[in-house]
Amino acid sequence: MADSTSSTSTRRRFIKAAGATGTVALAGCGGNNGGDGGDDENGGGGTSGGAGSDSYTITFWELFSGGEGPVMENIVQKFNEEQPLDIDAEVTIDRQRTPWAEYYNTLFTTLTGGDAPDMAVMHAAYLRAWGETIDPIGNYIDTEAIQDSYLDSHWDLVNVEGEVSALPMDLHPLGGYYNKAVFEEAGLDPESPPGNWEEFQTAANAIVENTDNWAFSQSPYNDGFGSWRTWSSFTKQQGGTLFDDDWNPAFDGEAGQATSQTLWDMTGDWGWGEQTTSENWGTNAFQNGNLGMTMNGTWYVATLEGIEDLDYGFFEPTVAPNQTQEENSVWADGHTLVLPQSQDRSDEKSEVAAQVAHWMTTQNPEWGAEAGHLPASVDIRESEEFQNAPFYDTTLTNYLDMADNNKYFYHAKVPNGDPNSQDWYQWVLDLWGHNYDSPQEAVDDGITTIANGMKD
Amino acid sequence: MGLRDTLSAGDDEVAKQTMFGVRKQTIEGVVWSLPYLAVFTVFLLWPAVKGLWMSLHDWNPFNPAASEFIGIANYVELFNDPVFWKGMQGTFYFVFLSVPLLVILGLVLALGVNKNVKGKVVLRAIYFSPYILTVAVVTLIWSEVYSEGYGLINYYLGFFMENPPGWLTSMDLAMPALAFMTVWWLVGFNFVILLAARQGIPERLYEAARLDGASTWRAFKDITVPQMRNSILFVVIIQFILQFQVFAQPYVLTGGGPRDSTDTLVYYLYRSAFSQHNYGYGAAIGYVLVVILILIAIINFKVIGTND
Amino acid sequence: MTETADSSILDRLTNVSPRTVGVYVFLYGTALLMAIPYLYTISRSFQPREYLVDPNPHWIPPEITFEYYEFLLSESLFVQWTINTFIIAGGATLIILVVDSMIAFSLTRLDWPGQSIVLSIILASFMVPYYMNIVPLYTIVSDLGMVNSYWGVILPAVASPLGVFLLYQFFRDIPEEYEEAARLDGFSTFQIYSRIILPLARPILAALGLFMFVYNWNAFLWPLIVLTNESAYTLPIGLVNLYQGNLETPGLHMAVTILASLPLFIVYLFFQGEIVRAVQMQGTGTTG
Repeated sequence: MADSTSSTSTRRRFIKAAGATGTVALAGCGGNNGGDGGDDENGGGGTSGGAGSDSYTITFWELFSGGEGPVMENIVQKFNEEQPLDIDAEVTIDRQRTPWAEYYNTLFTTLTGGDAPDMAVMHAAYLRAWGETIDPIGNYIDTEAIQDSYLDSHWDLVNVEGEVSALPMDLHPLGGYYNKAVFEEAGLDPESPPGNWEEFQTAANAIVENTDNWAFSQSPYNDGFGSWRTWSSFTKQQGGTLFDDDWNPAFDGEAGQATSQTLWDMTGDWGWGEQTTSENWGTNAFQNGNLGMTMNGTWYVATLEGIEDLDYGFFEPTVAPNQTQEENSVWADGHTLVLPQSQDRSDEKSEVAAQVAHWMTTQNPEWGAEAGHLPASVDIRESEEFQNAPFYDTTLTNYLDMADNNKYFYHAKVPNGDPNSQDWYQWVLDLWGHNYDSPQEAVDDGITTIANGMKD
Repeated sequence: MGLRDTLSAGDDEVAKQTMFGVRKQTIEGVVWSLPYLAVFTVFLLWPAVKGLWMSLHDWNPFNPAASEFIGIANYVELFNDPVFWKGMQGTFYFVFLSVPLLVILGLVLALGVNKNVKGKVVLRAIYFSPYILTVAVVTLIWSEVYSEGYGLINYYLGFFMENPPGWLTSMDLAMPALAFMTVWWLVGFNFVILLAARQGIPERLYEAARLDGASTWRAFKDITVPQMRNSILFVVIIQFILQFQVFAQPYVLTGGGPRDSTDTLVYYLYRSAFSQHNYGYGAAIGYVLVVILILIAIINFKVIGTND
Repeated sequence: MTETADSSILDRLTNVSPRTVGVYVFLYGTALLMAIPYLYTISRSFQPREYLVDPNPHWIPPEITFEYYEFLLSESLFVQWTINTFIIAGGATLIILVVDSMIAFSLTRLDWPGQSIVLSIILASFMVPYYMNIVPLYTIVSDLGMVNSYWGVILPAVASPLGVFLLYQFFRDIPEEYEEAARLDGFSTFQIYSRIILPLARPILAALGLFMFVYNWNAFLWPLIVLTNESAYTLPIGLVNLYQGNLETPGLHMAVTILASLPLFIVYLFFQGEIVRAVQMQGTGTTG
């Protein structure tokens, strides 16, 4: 009858769609669990190829984009082709990238569902808060043996409660960047950036007085987190503490108040920066030659290099007023590689994954050379590729020097909450934009917000 | 009339048919509902109920078995939480700004286009078009429009005034700015539905009214509105439900700022559940929202009424 | 009409009432305001960087560049992703139309105990915020083995109560006389559904189909969580993943967002014609 054909054709369409999805499901889950069978949660089709210990497929989740993305892609490809591990099995890295903004949400959700990847990128700052979800990599590799292959500053990064939670991949600390053309216009020596507060102040005032440009932006993106990097560095340089021993936010001491007052004045009486919370005013201004100095992480080089006609330079961000502390005074966080907890992964496989992580973090100078980060490997300084990076002289050597001089403090590995979330630091941005009645009000708000954010 | 009696007699016949003592219509009713209900129960109802369950626990997402039952403690904490109330305030404010405009503008456009207007097809296409954009596109476009220093609006305003306002950076303007953007984005949905409803009203009703000498307003009041009642009710309720759950717009554009003036309930839910891993607390926020929405729906049903 | 062209135009111009002018101004003005923001963005996606960072807005690109689109189309699995998205969005939409119309039919045209309870539960579930469901839902999808499968995306989408509610409200308005006459004629329940209700509901089904297709096309977070393989991604996810939030290339950012919507826009234009036709047919007095 006429009616039944319409329902049959609908049914046929379903089957075609189901077939397509079936194929995709098979393709997607092929070899997810190369080792022990255990509980194969990915129902669509069995494991392809991987039987026992002849081959391992290590699923690897990462979040790199922009300039870093292709670099990571190449590193993985190199591994899969060269098979550099000294074991009797074929190891394939199955890389999956998630957009940076959704990375941790996706990781969180899949972890709750029990579908963890074998290896994942994780910012060091999360190592304590996400501690329950990761299997300390120190359990699967001889940490004493490999310790020497890493720079001290990086090795310390991944030590949590005495355990080696992860392997460090890079450090991306804060740095100062200045526009040489603006310096010249202001009558300053473009090859001589500020090295302390007095020089910083002189330079900023010169820019304000002699040019139509802005002097300083605490973070070119004009975002909360970026503002915190600068704010916390200034506070530490003045001897302040950020968190006490019980992890209560404690940055409203003298140093914190002083930093807040400084930032307040910058957009207030001194006129160094635009008094606004408008996104990205600094990025546009810096590139258009309307801003003299700013502070940002290592990754900024990749951007700056790509802009024609921009002559930029680097300076250490240790320019806070009343500086009393030299060591542990510049903000730094880093990417690390972790092994998420998984019941399906055999110890054998975890060991293989740990070795993959070790290779990835020590044998790839291009991670620094092309992406601008400070790689973790101790050999890196000797690496030609690293030294030939276009910005080696501009930024990388300086970041290395700071590491040697122990200048970094790590972004707080809070026990709970998301220390990278913008809402934790909205108050610093609102401080910059004078949305409070006083800098003190801002700091108080900051304490409350972060304390709330760490509530369990 | 005789026909009615005949018809209802036929109805009774049908009603009386039974199979195994269960009315045939009951079996049919259930069978026809089953496909949807099956999917619904597994993929929506169950997670929702599970969420309620979670809200009664100090839920540990990575080790659920270790979650401690704490009864209504999450809810109590919620009511004492100033961030929750700020989010509540922001949400209500946003709904107040966006929902009436969404419904009324949708209705006005639908009625306007329904007449014999030249270029109807183009107009219809344009009114609905923003709806197909995803939130990422919408926020991108409007960040360029609203930008304080570089935006479209302020570029032109700059010819008339010294310091054009920061649309997203001013504590007073941020939420209205988000609401306006949302209306632009979503009004097409209401427009389409109300247009379909309006076109379903038989012309003869209007002809009869015209013959009676009724004014346009009378026709609107006595024919259009009553005939469209069900769809207006639908549109109002849906908009309440959707806009009360506003999250992406403040999340992407303002981060809840400046100074939490654009914080909303679902945004707080998201932070609790995904940033703080405090899923039970987030679930509690979710359920408070459900209760609010149920109340609103009930009120709407009573006020706008149903055609029975 | 038999008037000569000249006099008829003159007539029409002088007969135009201020109210009609007002209506036109309002309608076209609104349309202009609505279209401007995205037309501007489309224009900018073809402009080289120097014009994009210029504080002066350039409505017409002073220089046209295809570089952003070239990059995206060559570097991405654009075709694959578009196909995936069509399958997911199309599949979900079709299933929804069938399944939702069935239950709406059952709730409005059939009579059985517990109807209002079922409807209330469905409606109440609609009020549960999406983000709250994600974690428990993921557990289920994972247990059912649907991770990285299209079903893991489609089935949760089918569970949406929006369509049920929408069709319920519309089906209610269909006069009972139709069915009663049909039953007298010996129509089975299925025939009433397919021969009477569905045709009458065409406009609203077309609208629902459009809404659901758009929604599922643009869905981001959930498919991202479920699909773990780059070749399985939908178009929006694939493009955003390829390039994301790099502030230094605003043009690329815009091109990504435009490209992600493009196939959808084409489908929309086509579908739009369908809805118009369906609505017109229904509007021209099929009621008795």
